[in-house]
Amino acid sequence: MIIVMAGMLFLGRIKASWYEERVRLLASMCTFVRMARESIAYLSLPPDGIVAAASGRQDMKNVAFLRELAASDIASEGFLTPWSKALSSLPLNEDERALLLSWGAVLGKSDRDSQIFSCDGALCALEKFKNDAAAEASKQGRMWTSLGAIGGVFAVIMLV
Amino acid sequence: MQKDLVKVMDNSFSSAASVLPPRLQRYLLSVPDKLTREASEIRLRTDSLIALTVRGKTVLLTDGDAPRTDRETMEEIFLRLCRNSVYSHRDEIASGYVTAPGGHRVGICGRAVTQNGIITSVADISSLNIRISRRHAETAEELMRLLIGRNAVSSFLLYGPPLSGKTTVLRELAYGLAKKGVRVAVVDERRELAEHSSVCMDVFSGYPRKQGIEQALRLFSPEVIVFDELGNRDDTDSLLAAVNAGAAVITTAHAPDIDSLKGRKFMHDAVCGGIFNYFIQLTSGERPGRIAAIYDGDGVRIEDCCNDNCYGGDAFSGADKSVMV
Repeated sequence: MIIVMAGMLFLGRIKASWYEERVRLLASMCTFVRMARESIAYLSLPPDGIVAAASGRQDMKNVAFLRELAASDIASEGFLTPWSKALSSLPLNEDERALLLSWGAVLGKSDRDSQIFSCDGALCALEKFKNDAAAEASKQGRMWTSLGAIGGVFAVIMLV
Repeated sequence: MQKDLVKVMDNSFSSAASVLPPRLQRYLLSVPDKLTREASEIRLRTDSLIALTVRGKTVLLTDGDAPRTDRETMEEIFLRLCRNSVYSHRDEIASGYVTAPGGHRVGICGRAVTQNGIITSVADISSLNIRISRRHAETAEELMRLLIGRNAVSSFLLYGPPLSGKTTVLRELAYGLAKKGVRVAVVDERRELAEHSSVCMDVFSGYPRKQGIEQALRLFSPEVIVFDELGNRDDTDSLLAAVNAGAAVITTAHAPDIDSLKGRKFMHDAVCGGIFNYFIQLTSGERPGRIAAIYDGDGVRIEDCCNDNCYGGDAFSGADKSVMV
């Protein structure tokens, strides 16, 4: 009976963790875009240099989209193609994906001031998405954890 | 396919052509070797055929398969040149060029974007001129043999008309000296002379000349300072600072002959002020990058040329002590 309860709770947590994963992903995106902005503003690093610098950070080491970007030849093929490929498998909604793609389409293509402007705009929108996702994760997390607990109790009652 | 391209084309030409999209590189593979071996420039214009500059003459590639470079292709080439990072090359673009991998300088022209009368960027690229950087190792070795003594390096100025290989010879000289253990500081304003990190030289990549020379002198105690294109009064002041600090200077200047060199207002001090021990004239046209003549520090001709590396003239004896330090 304890196993059944634990199992239902676990399933509830898995569902809740999907929402938490989205929050972590959007937080990584914010960090990446912020790094890009600073790299462009102070070092004029090209996109492949930005990816390399971001990949070297301790807090970004396990970020999947960075690993995929680092493995591609951005200097030759541009940033957009590997960027859209990296985004395709991520749990992003339509608005988030469209924003990131439009930011990626501009990266490297224009002068520094335009790049900084583009980064600032993307960052502002991403922060909002991240805050919305965090609120959603909190709500969904409580709901799924509770559902898991209730489901576990119900299953025990049915078994008894 | 990329390996095939490199194998068949002349190395310098293939290195310069590598900034082009693969379809244009494949086309250039079909151009006769005698053209690609002697081409000094690849010229591209919007909605036009590709042209090569061969021995000073323009050769338009007009065979049946010859592609025209449309606006989208020019844009694509420009992005490839900038390694898909236009903002990283802002200063170069505003100066009208980008240095491609391999040290090939690519001239850019189009619609200037200006601010307070100063060009800040170039839009609607209409022409690109890829200057093929070829090795002139023999010339550099000859100069080192003649002009570098046991205990000191002479200061000298390489000059010649455009496409005479001045920058290439300068690059070879810098590496050659550094490999011999000379402390070489390269002020590489246009990023053409050295890779930004070099194991044997101190490279000031992208530094404005004056600041680069000042910092090299102040912080790196160079025996030789190398920079390209002596161009204005600030450069002459920097030269004097370097020489007064005990460093030799090796640089280049645009001039068809020694009299034009001496005749320029700001150059007069540099040329006649005893800064340089030698003036080396390089050839252009059919055989660029060869030594045409050597003049001493007073602008007096020493010899016409040096052995068979030269463009015409009598052989020069390398054992002649008058040119050894």
